[in-house]
Amino acid sequence: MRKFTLILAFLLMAGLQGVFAQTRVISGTVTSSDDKQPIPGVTVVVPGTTIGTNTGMDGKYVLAVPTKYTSITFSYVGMKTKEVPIGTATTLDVAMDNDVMNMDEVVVTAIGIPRESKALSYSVQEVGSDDIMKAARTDAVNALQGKVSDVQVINSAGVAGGATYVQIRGVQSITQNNQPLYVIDGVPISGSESGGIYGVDGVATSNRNIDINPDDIESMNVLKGGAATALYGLRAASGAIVITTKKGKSTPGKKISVNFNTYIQFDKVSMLPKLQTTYGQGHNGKWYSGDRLTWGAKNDTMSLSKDPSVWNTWKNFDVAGSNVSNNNPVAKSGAVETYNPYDFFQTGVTTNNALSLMGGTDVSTFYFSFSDNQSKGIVPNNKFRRNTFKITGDTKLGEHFKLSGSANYMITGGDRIQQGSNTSGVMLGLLRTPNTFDNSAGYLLPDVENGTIQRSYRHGRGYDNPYFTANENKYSDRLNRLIGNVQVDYFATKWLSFTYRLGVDWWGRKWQDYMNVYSSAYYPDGYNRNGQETSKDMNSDLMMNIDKDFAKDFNLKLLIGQNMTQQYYQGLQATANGLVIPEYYNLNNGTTISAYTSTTEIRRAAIYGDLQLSWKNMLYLSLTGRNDWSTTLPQGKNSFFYPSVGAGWIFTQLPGLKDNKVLPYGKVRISYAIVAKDATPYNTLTYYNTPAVLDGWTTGLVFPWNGNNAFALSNNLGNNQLKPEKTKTFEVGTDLKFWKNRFGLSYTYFHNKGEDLILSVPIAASTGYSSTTLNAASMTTYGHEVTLDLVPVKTKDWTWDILVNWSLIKNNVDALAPGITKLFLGGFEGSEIDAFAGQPYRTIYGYDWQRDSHGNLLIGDDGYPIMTNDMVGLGNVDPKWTAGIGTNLRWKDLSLYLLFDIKYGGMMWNGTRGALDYFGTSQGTANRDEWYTFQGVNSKGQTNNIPVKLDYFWRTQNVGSGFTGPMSDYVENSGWVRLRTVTLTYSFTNLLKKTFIKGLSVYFTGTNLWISTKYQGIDPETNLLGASNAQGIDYFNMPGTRSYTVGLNLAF
Amino acid sequence: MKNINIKFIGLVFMMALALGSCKKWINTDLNVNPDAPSDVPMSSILTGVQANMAYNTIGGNDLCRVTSIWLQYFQGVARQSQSTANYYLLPSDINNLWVTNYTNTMMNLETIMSKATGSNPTYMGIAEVLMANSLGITTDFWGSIPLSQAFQGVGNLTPAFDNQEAVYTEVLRLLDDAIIQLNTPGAPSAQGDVMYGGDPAKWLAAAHSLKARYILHKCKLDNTVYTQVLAEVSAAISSNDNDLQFTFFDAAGSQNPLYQFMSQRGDITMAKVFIDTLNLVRHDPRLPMFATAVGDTAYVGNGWGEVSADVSMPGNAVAAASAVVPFISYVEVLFIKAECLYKTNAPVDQVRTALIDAVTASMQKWGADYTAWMAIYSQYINYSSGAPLFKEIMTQKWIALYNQAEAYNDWRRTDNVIGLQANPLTSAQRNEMPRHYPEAQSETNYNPNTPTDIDLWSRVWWDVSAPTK
Repeated sequence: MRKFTLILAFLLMAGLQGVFAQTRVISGTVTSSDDKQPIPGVTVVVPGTTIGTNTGMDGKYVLAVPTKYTSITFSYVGMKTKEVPIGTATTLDVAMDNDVMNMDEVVVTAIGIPRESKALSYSVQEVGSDDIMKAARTDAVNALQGKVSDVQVINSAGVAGGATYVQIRGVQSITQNNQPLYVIDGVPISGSESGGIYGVDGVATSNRNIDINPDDIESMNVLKGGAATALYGLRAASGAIVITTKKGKSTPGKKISVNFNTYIQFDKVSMLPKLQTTYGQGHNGKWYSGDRLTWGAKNDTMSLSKDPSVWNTWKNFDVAGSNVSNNNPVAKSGAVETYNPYDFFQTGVTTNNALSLMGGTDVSTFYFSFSDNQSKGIVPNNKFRRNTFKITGDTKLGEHFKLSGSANYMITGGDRIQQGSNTSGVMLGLLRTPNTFDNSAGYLLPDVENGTIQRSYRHGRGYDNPYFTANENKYSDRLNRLIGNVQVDYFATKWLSFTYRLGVDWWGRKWQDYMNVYSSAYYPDGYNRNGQETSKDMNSDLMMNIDKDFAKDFNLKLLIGQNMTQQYYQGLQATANGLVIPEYYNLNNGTTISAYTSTTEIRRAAIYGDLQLSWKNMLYLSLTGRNDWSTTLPQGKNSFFYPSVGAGWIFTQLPGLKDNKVLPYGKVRISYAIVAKDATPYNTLTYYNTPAVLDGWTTGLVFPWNGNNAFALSNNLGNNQLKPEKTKTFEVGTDLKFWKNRFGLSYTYFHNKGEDLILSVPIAASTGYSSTTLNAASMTTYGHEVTLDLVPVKTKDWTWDILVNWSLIKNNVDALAPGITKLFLGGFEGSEIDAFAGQPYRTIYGYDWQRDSHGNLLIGDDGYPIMTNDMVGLGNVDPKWTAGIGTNLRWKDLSLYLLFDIKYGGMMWNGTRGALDYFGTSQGTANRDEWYTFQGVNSKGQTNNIPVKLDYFWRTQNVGSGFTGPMSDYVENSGWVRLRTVTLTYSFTNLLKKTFIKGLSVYFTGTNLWISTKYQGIDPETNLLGASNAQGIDYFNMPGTRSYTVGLNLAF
Repeated sequence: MKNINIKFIGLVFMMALALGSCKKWINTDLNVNPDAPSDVPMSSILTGVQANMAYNTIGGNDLCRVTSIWLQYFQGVARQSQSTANYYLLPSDINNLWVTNYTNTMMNLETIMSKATGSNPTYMGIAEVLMANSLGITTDFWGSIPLSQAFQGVGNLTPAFDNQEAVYTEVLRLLDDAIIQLNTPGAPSAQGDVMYGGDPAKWLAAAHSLKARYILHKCKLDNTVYTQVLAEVSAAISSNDNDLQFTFFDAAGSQNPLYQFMSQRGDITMAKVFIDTLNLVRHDPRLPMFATAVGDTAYVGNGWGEVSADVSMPGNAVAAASAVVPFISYVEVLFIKAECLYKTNAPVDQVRTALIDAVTASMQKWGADYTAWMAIYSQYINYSSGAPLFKEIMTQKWIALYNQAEAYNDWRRTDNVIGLQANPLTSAQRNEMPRHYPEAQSETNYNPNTPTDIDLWSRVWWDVSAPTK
């Protein structure tokens, strides 16, 4: 750290001269050459210095310029940048030309370097603040849904504060993280999912991009390919989401601008599995109180009875009465009632209030914001809250130095609900409950004979009553986070500048997690767990920037930089198992108390360079190179270099094509890059761990055990030969703009080849270990991305534009490791998401029905199909193609925005339906008394004609459900067409033109208002395992939501 | 311009300096996990191995529960347990058992042995005894298993399978060597041994007991084994107090595996066959320990295909939070003795006495009030001889080894001399009791040497088919 201070001091001292140089005052008005109207907010600067200002509301500016400088540049979004020589004038009026073709559009690329988009050899796509606001989502990343081609955004759970999975151009790594790098104002931040473990049970936790206030974001830029991310290096191997936040701006005549955005959002459960109400609790056609199944009697043949002879034993459970046959003499309390389990869900409510203030002078600017987001989920007691404070400022120190920085403080946290494969999981308890049992009629029975017991449909055991879970099993967390950065820019000359940027991202999270002693999962023990985790990321970049025209028509841009990062994490967790005093949740209340720490520390250093040569604004050539050093690889293998090369050719600049009316802009681009990535830490050695004595059924033994501690050789074998994995990316594409940019087309083809991919490889247990880490896999991904934008109508009152994104990805796992053709990514044993050599990544793998060579089901002599003895691939999780179609229709001050999101293909395991076919609650079991003939052939090859019943015996005792039989019947197409967003906005800005109010708009946003899918369950945009690589699992996941938002945006 | 050059040079210098610091900054020593040791003493490994053997293997739900359902101690009434009762057992079902046995148990025992060789005979002996026991169980359920090329990490990622004969040779070699090690004069006590408190003498007796068991397993191949077994029995465990067993405790995270299964999963009840044998036929005083009563005194089990919840559940002897898991017991030794005496044509009184001793030890083990019952039983036994007496020995052993997988070896070894009926329902995969475990899913996936011709009705080497009559 001392070194950085030294550098800062040096920079400051070197630059403070020249402050007292002789100056002259230049003033003038900037207008638009089109309509001669003044333009407010134009940036007016002396190139190569910090000297600058902005035009006021009337388009006027005043600027004191030292006499030694000879020109001024004027720039404004949507206008062509203009550099004007000063000469001897003191008044410079400037007319700026519209940049219809967005020729001068500048985008933020890797390391926060602004580059003209026309100069890039790769595709970039950006989402602006307006789109983010309209999407009205707590996690801003969701605003990318459907907007950017080849970016898949999956909300893993319909819960307040759940994690979001983002995948750019498919996957790059087999078992390592495939989530993109999040970069805020040039500083990479930590995006990991807290709560750590990607288990099939537990609560849905947040990933850390949720901490960002969406209203602070100016733009989100998606860097997709290797060429785009080469400068970021290994951390952005899966792409990068570059977030630029709002900055203050000086506007003459106006000191402070205020912006206030508020909305209220209502969430309703969107799709739910269909359930039957014909048959009640019990098995084999008979009603039994407390039975785990819903294979009982037909409800319309049964009546309720409160006669002591049948009711007394279980009257606290069956509060409406026992079920008896209609003709039973004690059947006196009316017909059997059925209950809708979905009454459990409530309307979720989110309120979001964001206030920002910004302003400044020619010397300094500031931006300050505060936001409050509070969500109440669709499940009772599921809550999430986020408060953010952000201050950003910059100040000019003399003519050559600029100091800027920001501090963003966030507090997030919530109360989270147990889900998934977990006897306390809300959906699990809810959907397995027979329709004849009323969960809502109380969840604790204090006065029964054996003390307190939970009131659930299985007499207090089995699964928790969802009301019990929501009220008695808690998980709450709270996170404090500070993201800050300091940047010094030194503009040495017109063509040379230096930047030093130091960023920190620090967060600490505390949580408490407990299970009531009457909870089924831990009956009769319960537990209380407290945890704390701290993460500290530090990132330092020192850069030299050259931007020089030389010779005629040549421009050179050169960046040389040095980067140092450190990532430190420590988690501390203690658990009190076996609560002595029920409902007292403290670490001192257990019969055993265990604790552990988990620490990771990674350091990396790099030098990098980026050279860009251009000729006549027509031909662009770029070269980058980066060398990384990482602590996670063994000495001697931890230094690695990787380059990229790219070219862009704006062929419409050719003399014969220039100023063509039909195709005024056309570019072809091509690039090739290699990106290397290190390993996760601590994979080079074999360690000893506290033994995990677990049998897959129970919670097992916990050490220290009865006063004895123990260590066991880890099942994971270290590998001291690890080297970096590499992905080679080739990308070619074109950008075409027709008819004054009324129609635009972009096309990109990319081809990624991953080699030496590091993966955690399972190995045969007979080796003495069950896994090791190898550089073994290779994977190929290629795809096409098409973007179309169209403006069919553009008049003073009417605008209609359409933006279409379409992308197709093909992926193939070429090889895993020697002798290994299949790798478990997640799921349950027997119902897996795997990487399978020769197949696309994420193959669903499980048992199927036996079939003949034509694919017909083989039917046994009993008339039922037969399960395979081995598992087979049953489909691919990822879609065949995805598309987003957005359209904006504006009439005067009213605009309507629609975004359709299409996912074609892609399979998901509907484990929920599979289980419910066993329990007899699903709609699919309503036909249990009907005869059914399986389509298939018998052992003699003849068409099967034996009618059978899909009854209790087949479903529960035989292979007729997802529990007992093959998973293939429950692998479903999860494709969809959905109305992702619809936003209606009315702007009062024109009406209020003469007032102090600069802008006022009200908007209504609907999310997921319409979904069309073949999937037979909850909204298929879901995943049990959160933001992990194992996508495509629905096992009692929380249902998704549709939301309605009303908001107001006010600026003055 | 000159001024700028100076600044430029200055900055380049700064950058160079920053680069120079890389060496210090990038220190691969940071890549050592601060939360996990790279080496530990043998004592702490031993405790974990014993716990793993008790919880995951010998008392494990994937070994005990499955064989207990097949042997009709328990009835599987729901989910996977119901499939088990229908003789479905998938490669994925027993994967955890296979993996934890090879890694958490046997690889760690290999580690202890490599540390103890030539330096600590007690640890060496204990590790060999436990290794022999683990290998014995593994081969008894899977037949051919990786052994000579196993436990080599990346040295051999695809170990060959050794046939069971070779595995048995190694099991007995390990026990022979353990006997030498544990007989070393002045062998020290071993820390971390939560089963025998590190006492070499007790381990010595356990080694002889296991030797008796494993030699006896070969009885269908070689009818001379009984004499060899009797020689081991004389040096074997000599009282209930010295059983090689793992004790659980009634504290969260310390409880017996079946207890945890019953409270967290359920899915099994007592089976009609076992309950009826004890209850209706014999009024066995161990019944209150073996099963819970329905109401006050009634004991009821589910028959094949029955799934009633209002029946007896596994009792405190096997399913209490603090129930022990025996690895090998005095009771078993006594039954082995009775069987071998019978098979070596010892005088019938001797055989009867040995049987009475064995049953008595079992009664004492569970604290049953057996005096009155035993008086009647002794008289009853006095009328028994020949094949019925042998059947009685094995039936009583089946009862005494309640919820112990060794009873399944006896069942195969004696070709169901006790006459258990296989699941007769059409829902069963076959109406014939399985004799083999399927190969573990992960071994099949990752080791191409894994046999592919194994099903539940394959037979292990020692389980030769009875000659057709």
